[in-house]
Amino acid sequence: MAVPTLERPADHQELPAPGFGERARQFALRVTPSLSAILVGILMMTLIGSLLIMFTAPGALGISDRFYITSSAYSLLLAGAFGGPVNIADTLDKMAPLVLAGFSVAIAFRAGLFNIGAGGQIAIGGTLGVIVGIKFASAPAWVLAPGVLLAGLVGGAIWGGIVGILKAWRGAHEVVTTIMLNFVAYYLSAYLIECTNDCLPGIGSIRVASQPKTMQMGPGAALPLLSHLINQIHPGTFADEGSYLANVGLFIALAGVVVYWFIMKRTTLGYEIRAVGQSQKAARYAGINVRRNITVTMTIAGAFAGVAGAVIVMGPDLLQAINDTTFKTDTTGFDAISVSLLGLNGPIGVLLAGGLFAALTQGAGLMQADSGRLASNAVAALPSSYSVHVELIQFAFQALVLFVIAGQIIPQFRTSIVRLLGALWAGVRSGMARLPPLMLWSLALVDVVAAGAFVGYVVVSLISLQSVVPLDAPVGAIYSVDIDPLFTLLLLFYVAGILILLLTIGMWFIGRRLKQGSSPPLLVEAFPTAETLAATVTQTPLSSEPEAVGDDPSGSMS
Amino acid sequence: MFLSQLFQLFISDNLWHPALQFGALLLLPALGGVISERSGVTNIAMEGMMLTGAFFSAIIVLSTQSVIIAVLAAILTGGIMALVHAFFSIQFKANQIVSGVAINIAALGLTGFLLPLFTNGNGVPALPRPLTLPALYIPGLSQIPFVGSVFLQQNVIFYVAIIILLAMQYLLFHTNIGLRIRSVGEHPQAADTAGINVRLVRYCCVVTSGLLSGLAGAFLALGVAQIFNPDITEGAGFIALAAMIFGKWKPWGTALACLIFGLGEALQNRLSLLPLTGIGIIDTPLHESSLVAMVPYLLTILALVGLVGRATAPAADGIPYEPGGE
Repeated sequence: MAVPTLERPADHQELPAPGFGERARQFALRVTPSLSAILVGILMMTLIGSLLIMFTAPGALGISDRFYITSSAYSLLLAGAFGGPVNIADTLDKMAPLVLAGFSVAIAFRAGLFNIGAGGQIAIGGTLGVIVGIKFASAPAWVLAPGVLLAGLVGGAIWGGIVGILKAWRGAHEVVTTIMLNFVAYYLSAYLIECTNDCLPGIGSIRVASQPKTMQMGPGAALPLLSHLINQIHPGTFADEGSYLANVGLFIALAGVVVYWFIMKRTTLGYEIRAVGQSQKAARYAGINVRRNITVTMTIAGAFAGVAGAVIVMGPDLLQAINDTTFKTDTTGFDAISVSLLGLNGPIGVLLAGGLFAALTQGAGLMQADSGRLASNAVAALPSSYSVHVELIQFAFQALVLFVIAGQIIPQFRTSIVRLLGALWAGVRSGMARLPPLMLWSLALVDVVAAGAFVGYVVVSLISLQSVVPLDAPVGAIYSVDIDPLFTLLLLFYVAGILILLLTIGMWFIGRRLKQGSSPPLLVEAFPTAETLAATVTQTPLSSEPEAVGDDPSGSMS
Repeated sequence: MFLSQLFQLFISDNLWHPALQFGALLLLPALGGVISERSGVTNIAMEGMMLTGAFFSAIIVLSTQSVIIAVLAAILTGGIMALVHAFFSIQFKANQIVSGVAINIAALGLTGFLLPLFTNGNGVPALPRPLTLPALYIPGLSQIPFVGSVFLQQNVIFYVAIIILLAMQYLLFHTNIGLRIRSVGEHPQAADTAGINVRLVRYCCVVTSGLLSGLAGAFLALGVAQIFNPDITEGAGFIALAAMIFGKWKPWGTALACLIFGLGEALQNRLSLLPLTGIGIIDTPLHESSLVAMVPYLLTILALVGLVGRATAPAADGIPYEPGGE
């Protein structure tokens, strides 16, 4: 058996330290995949959503009418999400917990663990935060607010840590334990809220319409609204500061981005997490304590979700009190899975995906309320009772997430997505391509055209809506808006989307032909391979775990 | 006083009738999970398959006015969802957990999207009696005081579920087919060498789990709730998953777990109705029902970590089969 030598070959040369240009290029390489993924995501989703609207609009309608209905629905979607300061503030308010919970799922995913338990971790973190917020209600804000956040962090970390311990030492599959712990958390939270007078004296439980509810947290526990802070500096900027819901939670989410990036890229722990995610066996050979690593990862994941829970209860939506069904009906933990998948588990990607998801949820409300009226003004054949339902946009988003999941779970398909995204940013990366240069550059061109069309579409549609619709008008006001000039741009937008679709299929065939070799490592690394995950599925403890067999379709990633 | 009330509750058919009904509702998808995982394909998508089945049974029964067609449609749609799962996880060797999550998301999105579309945004109305699955009264016998009202006045599907339980036990442990299924789930390479078509067996088992989950969906929408709303399943598919693990991937054990979990659910509903004034210990409205509701999930976790008898999954559960591997 040959003993590997550690001697350097004679022609070994030290690599020069990277200069500024090289570092900038590296940064671009890291960020561009996330951006491209989101862009392609928006394109795909718009495409799916518009096709759905076009095909499901009732009545005998011509193609231009159907286009009109679609474009008015999307204009309202945009207006609802970004149309005015109030809408933007609402979007930012919804975004903060989604991003934080998204990191919870993402960091576990990087370690090859599937954290479905963000919902339960949010519930425990939020409940613990509320208890602290009520117990110390008289504390000044600079003590109370961090205290509640810390309580949320600790609660979530414990709830996530349990999963990690059960996984690492007893081999209990984390998907099953997180699903079970979610329900335990919901009921535990409900129990604590229902019995606060008996179990936790001094917290108080009041009943509103026979539904148990906690008392309010101290005023210091409320996250200050951004409008309030701006008014402190420039008095009079916002007349009615209470109606702008964006709050300091946004800064907490941004801090989460930095923390996540720092852990993953700048610490030994992050390196170990990624190593464990790629191959537990290899990580063990490299001297990494896999069990400790799994526990720590799940604890951090729980901490992220717990902070998200604290941000939810401290935010302006719940008025600093929770009832026994608050967390059971809250879907943040579930949506976080989509956010993390769509964001490719990267810091920037999760931030953008969280923003996208929040914008959709926010905008869909206005769309459902007003799209029928807006469209039936111009299209006589459309029944006036028609409206585009919120569920349609949710479905389009879920379809998109399914597409991404399909790309991640089917090895052949994954290669194609990786290749597509890789080709999209290939313009900045020299020497990557085994693809024909013409195809590379045409893809890069499509990327630029699509991005331009999208940005142009947003701007033009907002301007044209702004000119005729006062955006602070009550929902349900009658609009008479003419969006005709948008059609050209819209068409371009759709064509670009369809082109990308076709190219995806083309890439798939090329990917099948090349099989291995040129897939960009940064993207593949974002998700553990199916084989790695399969190896963690077995119920046996790690030490006696059989490594998954079979050839590795993404063997080039190491 | 409290204890005697509790005792009264435990010997009343008001508790046991819903307990058995809910248990049967869990039993169908749980048995589906058993056969799927016995063949080596992890299935956490029973929730989604149930939801799809429930949705299509409600829609079809409204449009065709025929309960039988509606139930068949529910079974079929559950099977189709399972076929997608099978296609991803067997053909493409996808990660079965991710695929299961995807099926659950897809079911949620699909039903949420189609519901306002099919019903003009009004939702499904409460179903009139002729459009529901009837309870089956066995003449004479159903009048026996306790036994009759608990066991012999159940919904049609309850008896179907019992028959399927017996059939599943016989199929898995007393026939050649069962032996093949189990061998594929334990050691697919060996099974392949012995001439068993691993993929075919797995396809059949996963689709069977979908058919059973779809039937459970129809039972839920047409029999138990007699209405459809988007959150009708309320995690029943996940409790079924828990029952399957708690029952250690065996039909009888799973049935026992379903009975326990069904009892827990019925107890939770009944406890909140129990008159508790004058007990002394508790003078606020009873809040222990949340604690009772927690029990199935805690039991499952304990079973998973080996404190209540170690639950060991089939050896090849969740691992895609590679011909010629190992």
